[in-house]
Amino acid sequence: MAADLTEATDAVLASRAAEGDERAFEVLLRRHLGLMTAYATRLTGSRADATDAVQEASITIWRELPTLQTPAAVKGWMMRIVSRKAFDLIRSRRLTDDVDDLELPAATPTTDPERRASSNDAMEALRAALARLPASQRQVWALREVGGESYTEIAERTGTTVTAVRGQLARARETLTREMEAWR
Amino acid sequence: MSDDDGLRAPISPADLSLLATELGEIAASVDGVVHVRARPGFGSVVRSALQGLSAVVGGGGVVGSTVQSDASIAGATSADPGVPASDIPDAERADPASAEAAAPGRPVPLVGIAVADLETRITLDIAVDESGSGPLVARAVAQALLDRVSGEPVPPASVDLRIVSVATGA
Amino acid sequence: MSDRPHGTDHAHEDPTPPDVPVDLGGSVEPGGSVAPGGPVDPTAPVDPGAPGGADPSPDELVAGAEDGVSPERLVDYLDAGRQPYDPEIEESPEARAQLAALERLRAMGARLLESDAAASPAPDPSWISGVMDRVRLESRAGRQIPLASIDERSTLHITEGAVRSLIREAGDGVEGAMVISCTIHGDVSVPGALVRVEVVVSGLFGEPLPALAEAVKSAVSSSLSRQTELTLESVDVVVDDVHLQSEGGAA
Repeated sequence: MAADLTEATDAVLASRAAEGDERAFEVLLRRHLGLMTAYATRLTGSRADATDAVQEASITIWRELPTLQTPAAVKGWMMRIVSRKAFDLIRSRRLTDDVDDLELPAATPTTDPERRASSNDAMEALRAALARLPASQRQVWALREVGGESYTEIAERTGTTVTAVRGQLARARETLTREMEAWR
Repeated sequence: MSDDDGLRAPISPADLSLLATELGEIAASVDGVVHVRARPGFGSVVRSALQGLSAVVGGGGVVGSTVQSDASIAGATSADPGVPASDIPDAERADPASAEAAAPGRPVPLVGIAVADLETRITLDIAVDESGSGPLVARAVAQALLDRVSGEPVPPASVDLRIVSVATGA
Repeated sequence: MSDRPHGTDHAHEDPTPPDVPVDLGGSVEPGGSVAPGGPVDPTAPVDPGAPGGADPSPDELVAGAEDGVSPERLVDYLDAGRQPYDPEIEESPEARAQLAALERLRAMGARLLESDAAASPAPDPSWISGVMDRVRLESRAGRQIPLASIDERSTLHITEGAVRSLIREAGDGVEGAMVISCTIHGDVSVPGALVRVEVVVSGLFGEPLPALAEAVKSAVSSSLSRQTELTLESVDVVVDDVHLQSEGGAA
C-alpha cells in the first residue's frame, strides 16, 4: 500500500534523502551504484580502489544532499563527488604525477573475456585505446567525456590549470580519434 | 548496595554499569518500545553540562559493540566547562570516544547514567511503534526508569529521553 | 612542456566559449530510459570567458588540420552545439569529417560507463549494508520537539527527523500519493506554539488531485496528533508533481 520508492524519480529520492529518508537514499544509491563504480574504476584504474572511493563518496553524498539545489540533477552531482573521492585516493596513492607524456599506461582490465563478449567491438577498441594513453590524459578525458565535468572542475581535481587540461584533452582526443577511425 | 538508614557509600562503577544495562532492558520491555539506542555524544554533553560529575557510564559507542573507551570516570573528576558539546545540530554522529567504561568484554550499556553532585541524569534514545502513542510510551518509559533508580545510592534522578524514530509495522 | 599547477589562473584563460559541464543525459526515469538533454545542475561552476571567438590557443601543441581549423577549435564548436553556424568548418569536407570523428568519439564516451557497468558484477550486498550502517549513525535528527514530561526535571522529546518520517509514512500510505518533501514551520521548541506543516506530494496520474490532497492532509494530521503534542495551525498539502504507475517491476 505504501508508495514504491524504486519507482520514484531521482529528484523525489534526492529530496526525501536530503530530509533524512534513509530508505530513499538506499534506493538512490543502488540505482546508480554500477555507474559510480564504473566511473571510479575508469579514474583510479583499480576496482578495489574504486570500491573504496565509492564508499567514501556515498557517505559524503548522504552528508551533503541537503546542500543540493536542484534534486533532479542529483545523478551528475553524485558522479562529481565520486570523482572527488577517486582523486583523493589517487593523490594519496601517488598514481598520478604532473602532466607528463612519458607516463606508463595504467593496467585497466580490457582483456576481461566477459567484457569482450558483452560489448561490441568498437567499445573494446576504445577501451584498448584508452588503456594505451598516459594516465593523466586518460583521467582528464574520462572526467570530461564520461563524467561531463567542467574544465575548472577538472583542473581542481588534477591540481593543474584549465590550460593544461585543455592541452591534455586535445592530445587524448587526437590519439583516440586517430585510433578509432583507423579501427573503422 | 547497603540498605542502612545512615550514610550510604556511593554506588560503585561496576554496580552503576550493571544498573545502566538493567535500565536498558527495562526501557526495551515497555509496551510500544521497538528499540533502545545510545545517545550520540552523551559523554561530552554531560561533561559540559553537569557540575561535580563523579561517574559516567554507557550512552555511547557503537551500538552492540564491546568498544572500550578512554577514561572511565570513577571517583573524583571535575566537569570541564570548556568541553564543547560534540553534537552537530543537523547531523548527529555516534562518537566512539564517548563510550564509557564497561566491565572488560561487556557491551557498553545503551542507557547513559551520569552521577553528579546534585543529580543523576539518565539519558537514552528510543524508537517506538507507530500503533501506539509516542508521548504515552515516552512517559511510561521515563516513569519505569525513575521507579527502578529510586532506592539506589545516587542523587535525585531525572530522565532525558528522545524518540528518534517511529516504526511502522511493515 | 608541462604546465605546473599554480592556483586559479583565470586571467590567462583563452577567450573560448563558456566552460560548462558536458550534458550526458538526464536522470534515470522509471522504466530505465535515459532522457537525452537532461537537467544540468545550475550550481556547476562555469568559467568566465567571452562567448564566441574561438581563436586557437598559442599554448596548444596539437598541430592543426591542413585547412587551418585546429582540433581544439572543432571541439569547442562541438561543445557549443555547432552554434553559431561556422561556414569555415561546415563548408570544409576535412573539417566536417574531423568533426564527425569527434562526435562519434563523444557518443562512445557517453556510453562507456553503461557498457562498463553492464559487464561488471553486482556490488556485494554486505557492502551496501555497511554503507547504510554508517549512514544511520548520521541521522538527521533536526530540532527536538518537547513532549509533556512526568516531572519537573525530566525532559521528553521527539526529534524533528522522527516527525518528518511520520509525515512521509502517513502521506505515502495514501493510495496514489508519494511524499516529495515536508517542512514544519514555527517554533517547535515552545509547547503549545502554533506550527504549520507543509507537505509536497506527487500524485498518480488520473487520480483526482484535490481528493488526494485531502486524504494526505487527513492522514498526516491524524498521525501527528497521535504521535506528537504539536499544536497544528494547519497541514498544507501541495501536489507538485504527477507520476505514472509502472506495470510491476523496478525501474
